[in-house]
Amino acid sequence: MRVADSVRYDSFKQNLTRLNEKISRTQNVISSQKKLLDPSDDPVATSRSVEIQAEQGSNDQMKRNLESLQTTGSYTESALSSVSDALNRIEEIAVAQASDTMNADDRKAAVAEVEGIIEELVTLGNTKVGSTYIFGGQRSNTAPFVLNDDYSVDFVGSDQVNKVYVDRGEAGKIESGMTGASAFYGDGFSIFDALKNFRDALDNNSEALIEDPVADPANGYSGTVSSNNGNYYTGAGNKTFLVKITTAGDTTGPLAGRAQYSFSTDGGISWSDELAVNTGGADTTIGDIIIDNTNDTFYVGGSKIRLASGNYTGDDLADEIEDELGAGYDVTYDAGTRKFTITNNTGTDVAFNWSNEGSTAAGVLGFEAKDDTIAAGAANTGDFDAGMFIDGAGIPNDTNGGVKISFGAADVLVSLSDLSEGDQFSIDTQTVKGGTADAEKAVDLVAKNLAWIGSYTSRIETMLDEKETRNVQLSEYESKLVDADLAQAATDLEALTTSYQALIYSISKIESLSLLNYLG
Amino acid sequence: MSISSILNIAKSGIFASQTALKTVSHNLSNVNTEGYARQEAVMDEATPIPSDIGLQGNGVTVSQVIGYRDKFLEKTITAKNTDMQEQQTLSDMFQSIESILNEDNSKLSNYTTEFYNSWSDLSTDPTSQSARTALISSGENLARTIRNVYSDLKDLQIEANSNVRQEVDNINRITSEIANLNQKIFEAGSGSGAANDYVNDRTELVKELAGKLDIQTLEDASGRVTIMTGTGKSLVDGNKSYQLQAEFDEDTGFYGISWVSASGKLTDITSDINGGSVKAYLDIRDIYIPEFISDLDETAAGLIQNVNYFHSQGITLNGETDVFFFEDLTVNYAKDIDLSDEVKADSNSVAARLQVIGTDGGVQNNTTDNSIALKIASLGDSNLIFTRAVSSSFAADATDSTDTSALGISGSLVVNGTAITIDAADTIQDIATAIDGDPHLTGVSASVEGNATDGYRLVLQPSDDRTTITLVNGSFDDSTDVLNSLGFSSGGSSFTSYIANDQAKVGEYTKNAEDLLEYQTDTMTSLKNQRASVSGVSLDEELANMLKYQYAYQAAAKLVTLADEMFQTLLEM
Repeated sequence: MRVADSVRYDSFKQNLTRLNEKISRTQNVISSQKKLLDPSDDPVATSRSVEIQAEQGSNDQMKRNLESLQTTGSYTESALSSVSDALNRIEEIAVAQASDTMNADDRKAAVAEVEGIIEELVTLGNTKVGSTYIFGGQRSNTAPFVLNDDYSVDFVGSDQVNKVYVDRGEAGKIESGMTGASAFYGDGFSIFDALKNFRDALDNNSEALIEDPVADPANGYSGTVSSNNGNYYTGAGNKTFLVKITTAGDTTGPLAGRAQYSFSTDGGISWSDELAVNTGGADTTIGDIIIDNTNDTFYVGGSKIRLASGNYTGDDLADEIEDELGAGYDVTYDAGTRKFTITNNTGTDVAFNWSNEGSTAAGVLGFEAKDDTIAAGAANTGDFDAGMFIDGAGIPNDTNGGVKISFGAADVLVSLSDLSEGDQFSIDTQTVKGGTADAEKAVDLVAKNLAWIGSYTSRIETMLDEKETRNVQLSEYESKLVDADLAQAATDLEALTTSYQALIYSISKIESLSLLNYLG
Repeated sequence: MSISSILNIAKSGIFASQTALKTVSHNLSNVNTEGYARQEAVMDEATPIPSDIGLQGNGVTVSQVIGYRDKFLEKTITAKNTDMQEQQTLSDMFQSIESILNEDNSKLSNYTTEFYNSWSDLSTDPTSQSARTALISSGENLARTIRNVYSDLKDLQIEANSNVRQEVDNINRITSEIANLNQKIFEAGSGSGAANDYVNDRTELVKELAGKLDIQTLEDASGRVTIMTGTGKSLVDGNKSYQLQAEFDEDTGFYGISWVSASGKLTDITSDINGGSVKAYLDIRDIYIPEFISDLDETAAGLIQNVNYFHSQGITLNGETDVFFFEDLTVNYAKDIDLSDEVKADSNSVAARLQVIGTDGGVQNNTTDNSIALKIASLGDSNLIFTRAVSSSFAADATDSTDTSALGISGSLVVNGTAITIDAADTIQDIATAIDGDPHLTGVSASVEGNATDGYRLVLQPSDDRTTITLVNGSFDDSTDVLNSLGFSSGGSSFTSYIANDQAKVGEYTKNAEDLLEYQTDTMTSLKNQRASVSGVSLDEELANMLKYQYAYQAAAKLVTLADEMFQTLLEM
């Protein structure tokens, strides 16, 4: 084949151009340290790299958000721990001032300190980060706590707290700290109200408020308080309902448990006249046991038995039960033990379904809420005293010993296992006020909040670490996609330079091969 | 037989060698001329003269100068040039688009991320003035970047358009030159060196013309070439050339290409052009750039509509509602995207909070709530769908398969930023009717398609090309559930993946054009090498020929001397 000279030049030129392009690209790779210079170098990797950069960008933002929350968290934590210190001091004051040796002047002197602490707490509640009140919730641009002249404090912040994205998606939002509403207010309880009451009590020298109204926690009552008309206690103005057993009733006999009591609705400052506790169980007088539509039903062998409404003695009621059960049963009442005994003479085993929900008479008849089967010819005696749960509400069991007490004057029914003379017990109705109990409650609330904020900041810490790790991972990934392998690029450049030199050398060699060199 | 005839023969040898040397020197001097075909003087015996001993040789004549040319190869190269120039132009243009869209240059994704990050920043401190200022500046950056990318793409489109016009001018110049050359070749007649040179020039011009558009060529008996467009419109016919004209279209703002007949009648051949640089410019102008512009427009539309949808529900620091963050555009989203005048004038016009009803039932206007900032920040995540026309992916009520039974879903569906409330009692037809009947929601029509067997689906169709349907997930109401229940994908593209996809797309186009170009270039090189082996000038060959003819010349000259001596001898007798 003929080789035209221009072809030789052209192909050298073309090869040189290509080599130059490669060399220039490799130099760009080395100088920019990126192997992807244009999207066309690797479209998929480029688009992935754009997404990764975006994710890194949003990750960095999440980190910034977390750091901002971290600041809020640490401010909240330090504010709450100062609150906790202040409340501990209140507790000390309460204990000291409750002492009988303190007089009105001493207590007046303590008022100033309590007022100082209230002021301190308001300042803490109005802690700011930058221009933001950390306890303001969604109203963080104004001071959330306002101190009034009488040392009462109003919360004007929002009980809603903003959320902030710390992760992608709807689930990635967390609260931005806590609002003053949860930091200073518990369930029906306000730290500031408690302090104000305590301050007022000191100011008025009212000992009962200062000292601990819970004399014997062993007798403390916890549970639902209800009146025998089915409504919850709604007494107005009473923060504490105190009951004192003044004279214990007989421990045995028909009148056992019929103690005398008096009650206080003002925290123990004044007491009512003595009243008799109607414990039920007495059987000798008509009307001791009242059967009405609330306590007249029980089940035998799955069938409903209904007692006639009316006022009964124990014996009368035994007869009524026998009547309702029909032939083959013998029912007796023992006034000494105050228990009913049912004898089965029907000739077959019979199940008494005391656990049936509709079995409202179980309590008043003194049978525990569990099924008994009375074998043919056998007898079954009540588990508890009869006449206790005469309202049909609640069930007798081992915990309450089958005892239910009715405080007639206050229309309150309480079940207690034991009462003795001189004991007091309180019934929490709305808010306990004043004194060390309130201080304790306040301290508990703050401790709970401190624990929450502690776990909150550590959660943020963990998430910050995660973001950091994620960013490192993303950087590594992106580096794999985009970054140049410098060693590789340098080797490539070396190889390309060598080819370039070889090409130039071969041009010079071939060019010397020309007939011109041999013509004279 | 006379001595003078010896002189004559010697003279013919001298002339022939001179002519041959002249051809060699022409070849040598054109060694690097593009498209040159080497020539050779063809020598023939001169017509013999009758003599007493019969016919006797009468020297040499140069019968013709031929050009070494492989017509088939030339034709292949011409056709190949159409493909190569198309890819060359595409590759150049795509590189320009690539550099506009390259994230390293445009920072579009970067600014998008920053924009949503600014909202996130604001959500951590909704009343902060510095966060608001930063947000406005990142919003301006994003809007400006979108506008810049748009105008860069638009500029490139305009450049492609004006290139179309220039190429039409070039085509007209080339065709008229070819027509001229046709005439000259016809006049020179074949076999002359001059005609060869004209043919070389014409071959080059035809190749150049083929690089601009797809053509058909045929050569007539007298060596004139006829050139037609791919669809048979005559461009050159003998010594006559036909003009193309770039016709400005008022509607599109672009040039169309028309063929001008001898009588001056125009025929639009824009869509008939199927190759060459003109085709590449047309494709770039009419297909590729509009594709990227429309992607950008959809991104901008989604951004404006979604951000505004949430923003207008919030309350600004000044206590106003219904304030837009971006200027509320209905067309030219990417071209004109900008912050609203309110936001530009006053950073307090940024709404970060939602209207909150307090426990007392009153409006709490002084809250530092951050709901709106959160909502907008979350738009940065993958929860947007923007599509030209969307239909739900499955029948809305698969169990019943009717369009008349209640779907039992409630919540709202946000289309183009307008919320359509859906009750549990609504049927799929009710939803379509509600979308169609909403006075605020224009540009989208909804219909129900399907049948009782396969079930029915909701189809949203934009009424014109510029409308974008945007279904928003995660609005205040439960539209995620509604979207899912209606069978719309809830995992649409996020802004970022939209941008990333465009990067991948332009990368693929460029890479494809570059790869094709490399292939075409390599093919062209190999064809040119083949051509060079036929038509190219080899210096060694020419030098050898030069020696050959030089010696022949010397020999002929010697013959003259000899004849001279013979005359002398004769005269001295």
